[in-house]
Amino acid sequence: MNDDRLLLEMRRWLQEERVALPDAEEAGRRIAAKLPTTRQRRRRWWRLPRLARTPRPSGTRDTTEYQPSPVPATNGHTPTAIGRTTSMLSPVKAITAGAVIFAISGAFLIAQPFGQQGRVPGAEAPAPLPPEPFSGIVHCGGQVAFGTSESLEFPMGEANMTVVSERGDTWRPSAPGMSDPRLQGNYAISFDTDAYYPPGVVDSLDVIGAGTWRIENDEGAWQGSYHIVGGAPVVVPLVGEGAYDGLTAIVESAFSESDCAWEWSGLIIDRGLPEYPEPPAE
Amino acid sequence: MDQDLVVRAQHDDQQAFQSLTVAHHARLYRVAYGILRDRHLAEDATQQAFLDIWRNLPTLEDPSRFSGWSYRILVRACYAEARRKPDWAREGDIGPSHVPAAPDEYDSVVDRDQLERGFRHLSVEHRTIIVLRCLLDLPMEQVAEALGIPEGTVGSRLSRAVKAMRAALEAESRTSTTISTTMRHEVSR
Repeated sequence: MNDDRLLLEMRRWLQEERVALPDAEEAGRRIAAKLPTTRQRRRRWWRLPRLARTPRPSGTRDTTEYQPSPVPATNGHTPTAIGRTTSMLSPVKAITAGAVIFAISGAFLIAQPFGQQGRVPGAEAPAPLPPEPFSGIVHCGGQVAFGTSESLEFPMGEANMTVVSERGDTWRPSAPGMSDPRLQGNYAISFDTDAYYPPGVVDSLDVIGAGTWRIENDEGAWQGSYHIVGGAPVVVPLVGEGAYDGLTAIVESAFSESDCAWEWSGLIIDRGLPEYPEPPAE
Repeated sequence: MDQDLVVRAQHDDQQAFQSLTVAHHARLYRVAYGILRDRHLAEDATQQAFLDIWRNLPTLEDPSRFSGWSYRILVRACYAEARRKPDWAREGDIGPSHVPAAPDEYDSVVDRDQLERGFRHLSVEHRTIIVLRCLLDLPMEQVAEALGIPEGTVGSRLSRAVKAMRAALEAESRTSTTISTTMRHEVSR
């Protein structure tokens, strides 16, 4: 009997097998009874600072002129604006970013002659590439790996604090419009979290997350990991592989929950990150 | 109807999820039993799968893909159940959950019991791919999605599973022959 025949036999056996089914209504009730203590995953780890594009009043042309109107406080104190109040892509930020890039580029240019003293140009190591700024949107993608979720209870007063640990989830975002072609390709992000729920609180108070980005294309790959605590912004150093060996992409990543997308900007530099310095001497 | 229930359940509607559970329980239990060959393990795996489905439902982007997506979670629950009980492969019941068909309904080259015994020797991964392909008749693409493996790997894994099944059947056959020969010798003494 060949493989196809054996498959046919197994198909017939499995499909004709009569299996007594449990009572679905009863099973449904048993499962429903566990739902109140089973939290749904809400992707809290994506709760990074929103890209707060505050709508401009009609007729306002210059974005630098616009600031949110202060709301009079009931106690008479001058209100304090907290958080991002202007667009991430405002001209002021663009000019600032340009100045930073110019300064870094200048530093490289100044440093280069000292680093190449005594060398014959072009005879040894190639000159380092100038830093290249990049930007683009990374759109959310489907989940491709489902991990585990475990809860631990810790007594806290008369109730318990719950810690939910989720491990092993992976998603496949996409970034077709990334400005630097070296950062185009197949994106993947794995993310593990520990969410802390104080007694009586439905939404988690704090999320500690660890993520790893990987981008692969025909030339090589990039990979980098990072941690978040709550909604803190993240900077992810992506280390190049293959044709990108020796390069590092420093990514500032801001997630928008409403758009389900990360706004990326940063620099590709021809070197690694500086080593951490020694602790200060006593 | 199902999609409406899925969307409501994604937004924490427990009543909608209970309806979804009742509607899909038989479908998932049938697959779990096919893989695990034990009604208690299959019930546990199915229940765990529904709880995992509930937990992960908000991450399902396209509610119309609920059925295929739920197979993927069920497969994971079956793997976990098999790991949790190391002796699962040889045990298993052919109790009330398994209703034998009338003999004349099963005219096959390979005996039903032989298939059952051979199947129990397979790894959970091999059982799963056979069940998805033979019991559910899922196309390769959906099998790949349910198993979380590339589509190209499905064919090779299925081929290995069939070869493992053939080897198990041959081993069963040799064991049966040896036993019957030994018994004949004992009787003739």
